[in-house]
Amino acid sequence: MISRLLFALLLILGTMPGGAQYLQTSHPDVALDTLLTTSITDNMEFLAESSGNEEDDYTELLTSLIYFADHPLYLNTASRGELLSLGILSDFQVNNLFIHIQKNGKLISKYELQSIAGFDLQTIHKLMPYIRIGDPNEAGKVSWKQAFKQPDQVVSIQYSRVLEQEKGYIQTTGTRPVSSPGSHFTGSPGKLLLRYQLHFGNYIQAGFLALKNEGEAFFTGPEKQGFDSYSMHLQVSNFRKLKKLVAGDYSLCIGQGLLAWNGLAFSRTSEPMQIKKYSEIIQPHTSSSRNGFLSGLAAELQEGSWNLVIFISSKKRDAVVTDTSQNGHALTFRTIQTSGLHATLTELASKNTIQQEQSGARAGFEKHCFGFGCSYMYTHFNASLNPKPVPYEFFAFRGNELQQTAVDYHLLIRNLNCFGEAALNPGQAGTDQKGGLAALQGMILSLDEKLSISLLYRYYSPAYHSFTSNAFSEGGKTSNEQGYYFGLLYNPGHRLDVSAYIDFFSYPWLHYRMDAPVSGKSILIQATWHSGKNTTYQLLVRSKDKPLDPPASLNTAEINYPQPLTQTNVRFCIKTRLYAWIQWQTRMEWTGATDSLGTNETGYFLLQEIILHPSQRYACTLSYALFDTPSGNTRFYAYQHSLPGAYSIPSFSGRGSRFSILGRYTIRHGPEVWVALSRLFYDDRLQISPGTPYQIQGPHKTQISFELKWKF
Amino acid sequence: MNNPDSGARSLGLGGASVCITDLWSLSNNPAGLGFIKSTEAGTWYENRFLVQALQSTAFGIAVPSKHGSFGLLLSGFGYESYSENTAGFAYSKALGKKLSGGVRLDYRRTSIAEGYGASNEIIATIGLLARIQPTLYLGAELYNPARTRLIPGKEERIPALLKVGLMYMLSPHVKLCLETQKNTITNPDFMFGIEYEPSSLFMFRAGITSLPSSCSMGAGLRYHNLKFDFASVWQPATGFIPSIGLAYVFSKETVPH
Repeated sequence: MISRLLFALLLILGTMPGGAQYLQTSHPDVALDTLLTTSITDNMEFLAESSGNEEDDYTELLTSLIYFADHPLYLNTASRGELLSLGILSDFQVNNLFIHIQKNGKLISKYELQSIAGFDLQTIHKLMPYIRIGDPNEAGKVSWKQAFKQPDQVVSIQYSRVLEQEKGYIQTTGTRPVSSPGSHFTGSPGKLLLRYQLHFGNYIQAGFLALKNEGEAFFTGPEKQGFDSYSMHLQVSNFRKLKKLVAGDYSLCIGQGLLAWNGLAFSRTSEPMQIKKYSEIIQPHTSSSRNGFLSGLAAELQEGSWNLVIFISSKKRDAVVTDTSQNGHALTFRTIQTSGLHATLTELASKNTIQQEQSGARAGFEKHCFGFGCSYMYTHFNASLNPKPVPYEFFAFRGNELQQTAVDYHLLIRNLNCFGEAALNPGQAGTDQKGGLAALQGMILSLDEKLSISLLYRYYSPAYHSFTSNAFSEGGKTSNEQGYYFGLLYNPGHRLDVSAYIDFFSYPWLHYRMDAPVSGKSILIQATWHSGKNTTYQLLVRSKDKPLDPPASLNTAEINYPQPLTQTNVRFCIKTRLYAWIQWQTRMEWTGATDSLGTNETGYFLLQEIILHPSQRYACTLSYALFDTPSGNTRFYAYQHSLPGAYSIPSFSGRGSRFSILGRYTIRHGPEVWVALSRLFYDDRLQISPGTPYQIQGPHKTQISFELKWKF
Repeated sequence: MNNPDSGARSLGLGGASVCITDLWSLSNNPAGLGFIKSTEAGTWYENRFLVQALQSTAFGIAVPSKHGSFGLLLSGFGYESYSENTAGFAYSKALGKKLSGGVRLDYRRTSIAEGYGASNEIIATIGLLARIQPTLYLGAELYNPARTRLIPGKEERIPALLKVGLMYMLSPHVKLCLETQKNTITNPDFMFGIEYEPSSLFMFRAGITSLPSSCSMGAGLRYHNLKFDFASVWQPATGFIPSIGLAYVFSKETVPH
């Protein structure tokens, strides 16, 4: 999607005088839907499934790809960090590329890539849109002066809304909103997002974002200053020893995420060789999500192989305050809200009620195939976090300050790639706050050109706390988990790939809805066959065994023994590109779940998707899905093509169908126009989301979105 | 009868006919019409469980041309007290040798006697057929995506149906068809059919279906420009469904498939 519009941008810029001439790269062989390859959309679906967040702005997972599609990497001079941040190449492949260049000199043409060990055709195709082979002396490394003459600007406006009337918007007479603060929206339906981005080469980047979510007020009532949230950042990079300096909103990613990893991250995916996380340590925050970033100042200094990162942040958070002092200051709070929504009075009551300050540093050393770093972070709240006094929160963090230290390393020796991180938060003297340790150790081994294996061990103590972590885990939190993961990738030849993993996990302490320590396992096997250049067949089988308390126990205080819950999912998918302008995906999925009462449920899902791009000026995606599942245990997640920056992964449960259409048109010398329409029909109910402010009378829900995007 | 598979050839294959291209693609997958080579016209009759009230008949004509293929389908089901009569107009265009797309618009009248009245519905069908490999076809048909209402203002709707199937030409004499169908009210249906053509005169077919469990057998005769097909489906729970069809191909050459 982005790649296509960027391609259009390049064509437009090429015809406009004074356009960013140094960007004039045409990609005659770019595959037009490359940004959203099946592996990325599948992995997004797994992520949505495990986190349960369907409405997150998944753009952040694609930040690097979006940037490099616009500013392609010159392979001859790209750094290890830049190549790895694409998420396409493994450490082995990057290393082999450097060895090849060292032995044989700089690459002359893209056909040379096939001769590098580990670079198969699939990888090369995935890589092509983001790279250039060429003599960097003619273009690529632009000087400061040149960069200032040629700014890149993007302005976009996005609007979307649900057409049916949701209950939260109905102002019935006799019901004052104050009496039911959680069920009325204070604003209009309709989400409005304004974005502005400015680039001066890869030296300066600035951005601004304003967001009003559905139901939030706009220039009235509780939001007199306009939008509900604003975000901005300014980044200066590559200025002598200062590798990066960001002021404003930024994300911090250290090591393997035990200490800090803002934003979304893939954990277990269908690519077992990508268990190692890689990211730039500091990145400006460009997505519209209201959580998962820090706000303040961050700097990264580089001296030879040594690297120093210093960051400070001070941010207001939404929290449910349980006790206030006499002059209205918050004293204690129970939990930090992460929905980011401020539409109902209840949500507004917890808006920006506490202040979170964080600061810290990381000193690292990076040379050839070895890297090592030490980090420290200090977090302070202006009120005390005091969670519910329930058994599963026995080890939860209590208090208003937290210190954490971590060490991380990674090492590449021939065909072995080792990485790990350990993090510690000391106990607090004078309280019964215990210290906790989290450790992760992983290994990727390329045994043969046909076989690679990966292993990962993790132990996160129930007493380890972190407010910014996001590491490899089953439960989504870097706490109270222990697990062993084995992954395998086998290429028997004939264009067949088989990848599989098995993950044994256990929770040493209690968990929400698990009144006893439990253990379970998760298995995935995926076989992909690329027949010819145009058709791919994929069979995916997944199974997860995860005990859960029986549902009746939600209302009692007794201890209930968790019952085994097994979910199995089988998916068969055919993707074919019949001609260059049309791609057709057909997908059939079946899910079975055996719940805690011993009943079996099965669900079925059938999806047809057609992507048309008859010319660079316009493109269209049509999709139709039929689903039939009895409950949430057998729900399906399917990636939904949508406006750039608004990718969503809706879930389907119940019986019904969904139709959606997405169109893009690029006006000559004008903006890009995107329109998306989707309609969901249910055949098993007459109301959607009953009992919530999102309730709709009627079995259908229609959503429409528009976006206008100008590039200068 | 909301499952609009027609033609004795389709029934002989267990219903796995979304990738088959012949006259009855008018009903089974309008995209199939884009690949037919000559004008064809024919009729078909089916009787469920030998009960006269549950009979279906259809008449269809398909005309290929330089700008795409056009087709007309007239069909009826039922008896005086309950009947569904449909007139459908189809158009399909092949895009190169690998892809064909088709649409059909039906005007259907459902009438129930004894004063219950009649209702008229408009139903659309979209089909796609692709030759993803020289011996492998992939076909899909979406029937009634709008889930037209039977009674205006009420939530009683004709279900939408999505069919997806593969057809593999094991050899010039043998075709294997695998298909899944899912509508918005019942469980999914899986079907498998084999067609064997030992000579240009005869064809034999067999198939199995999962919903309801049934097996079917059929045969076809091709003599000069005449096509004669018959098939019978056996559902263990309810009995036999015989069907018979006759078609004529307006062509100077011998009949293809």
